[in-house]
Amino acid sequence: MTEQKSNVLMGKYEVGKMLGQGTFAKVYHARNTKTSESVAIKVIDKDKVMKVGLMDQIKREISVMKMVRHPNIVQLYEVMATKTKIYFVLEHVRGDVRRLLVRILDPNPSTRISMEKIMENPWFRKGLDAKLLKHNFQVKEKDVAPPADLDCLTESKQQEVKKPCNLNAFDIISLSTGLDLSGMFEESEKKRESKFTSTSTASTIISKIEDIAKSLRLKLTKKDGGLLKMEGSKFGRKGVMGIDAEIFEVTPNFHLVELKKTNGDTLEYQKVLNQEMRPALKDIVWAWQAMNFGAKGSNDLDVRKYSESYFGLCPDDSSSPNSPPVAGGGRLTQTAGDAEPSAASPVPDQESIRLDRGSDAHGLRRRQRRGTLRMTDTVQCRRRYSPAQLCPVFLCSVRRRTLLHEGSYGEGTTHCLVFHCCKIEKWMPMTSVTKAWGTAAWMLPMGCILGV
Amino acid sequence: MGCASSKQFKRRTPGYEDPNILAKETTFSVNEVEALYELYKKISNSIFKDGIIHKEEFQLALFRNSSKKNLFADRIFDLFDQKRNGVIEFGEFVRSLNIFHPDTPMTEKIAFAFRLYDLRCTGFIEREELKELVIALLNESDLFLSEEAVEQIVDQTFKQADANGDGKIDPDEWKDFACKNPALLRNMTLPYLNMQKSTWARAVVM
Repeated sequence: MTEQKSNVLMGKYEVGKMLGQGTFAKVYHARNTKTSESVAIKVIDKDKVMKVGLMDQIKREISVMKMVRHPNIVQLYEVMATKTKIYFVLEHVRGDVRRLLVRILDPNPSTRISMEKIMENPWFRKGLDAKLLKHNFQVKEKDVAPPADLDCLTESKQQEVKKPCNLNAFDIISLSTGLDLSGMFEESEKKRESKFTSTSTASTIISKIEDIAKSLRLKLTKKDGGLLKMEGSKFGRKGVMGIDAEIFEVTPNFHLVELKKTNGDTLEYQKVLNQEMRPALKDIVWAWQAMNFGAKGSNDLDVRKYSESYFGLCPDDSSSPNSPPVAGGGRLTQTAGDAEPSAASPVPDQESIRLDRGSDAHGLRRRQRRGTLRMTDTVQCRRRYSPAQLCPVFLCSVRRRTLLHEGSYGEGTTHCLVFHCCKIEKWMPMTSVTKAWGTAAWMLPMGCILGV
Repeated sequence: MGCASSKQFKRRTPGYEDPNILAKETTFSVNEVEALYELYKKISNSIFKDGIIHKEEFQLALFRNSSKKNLFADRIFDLFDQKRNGVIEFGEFVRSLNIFHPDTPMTEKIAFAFRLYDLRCTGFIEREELKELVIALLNESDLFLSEEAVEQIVDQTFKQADANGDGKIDPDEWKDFACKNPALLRNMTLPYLNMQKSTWARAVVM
């Protein structure tokens, strides 16, 4: 490397030993010749980046990093470039975090660092508003209503659909198949409506249905109250096929979706439903309601499936006991033993985090100002969390990222790695992300990064 | 039973009532009652062949499965079984289904739903009853919500429905609540019973 020969980059930074190496970049320790301040310089190989078409990601990395100011996030001082290389000049951070990380990821629960100890750690407390912390600890989750003005933040593209109707207890009861006497009057196969439950968020369900509508060439319109209307383009035996999908909220993580034929031939509808829609919905369906689909219409149930999506545990986690307690308010009774009891844990429910697509760097800034944390095009937090609340989850997801992305990262760049890795999430299709880690584990970190 | 050549209704099953009388008491026409009798015969002879609907037969008709236990189906069965003799007779069948007729006044449907949910017949829907019902539904659907989540749902509903805040829902409160949330009663109406429009009735009568 030419810079190393001369050892001075752009006449400004004296470059020292390499700290770490990734697929596209190397990170060196360096010293500002004027101020003699220690920095880390990330040298990105333009060719390599261009080859895989990730230039946009680099640009975005720059734009996001420039915006973010938090003691726990590596600050980007400046960006320089030559014909072949891009240089990020970053804050140089020492490796105290790594020691903490090791203690958090200790596979032995009895020696593993406790939640209280984590929160006492100076790294966590850096930049933490003591008042905020106290507040968060004393006030129970449900008492902390999100500020009213946050509700209006759900207005982005994805959120065009109004929040699904919230079901009250009697609504829930009325879903029972035992109360549906229509079985006496008609053959089960001809049922006009079918229901399934899902543990995905409303927006995941909506985007799934959108995808399906697209692949089936159905025109989709969104109505109030979580209603999606789909219409075929071809004129069938009894007119154009019309299908309604209505989403009801039982809890924020638990939805009921009703599919209903509104127009067209029943047989054609049944064919589409059973051969196209049901298989395509497999990813998000928790169980089909036993609406006269024989004795039990539900899929094979897998308790782990639920615990993963609920607690955000990645599949390989259940075998290793060292996952930090991600469970905010564990709702699932039978997985209670899986996650550590979280009475003292202030890690918030994932419920208040929404998936979101389609915002941009500009949106990020705007939302930050308005109290919502948001990361380029994937994430939106509806509430503010202190780093202490978020970091355990955050770090837990760091580990997963590192598992995924090979490459060694030096001590000095731990922070950088975290940031970098979280960003990588966006490149993955939404479904595979949610499948791999559930939602909590990868969404919360964003909130942390984007700075409370 | 040797009466193949006879006119309709010659074979009297226990609890059989005159269609004319039933038609007068209900929203159904005589023809419709006769059509219901055909359905009744079909259901009541599906297992025990004694012309009376037993619980197993009722479950078979609803779920295509005679041994499927379901709290809600049990409740419906109990309410249909007005004489409380463990079976549904024809008169009971018609009068009960009348509640589900699209033209039956809302107030009757509301009252029926109230009795349905008043598990212990105390004249009130109590908190515990509601919780039990919610849990039953969740179990039926293989859903497991924590105690806490269920409590929250029940609490929230009571906040809306229990107007005087005495911890139980009385018939008047229920009426108000149901009027505000008509979707609650969607199972209380069966479009099939409107027989002019229903292909089902035609099929059965023929």
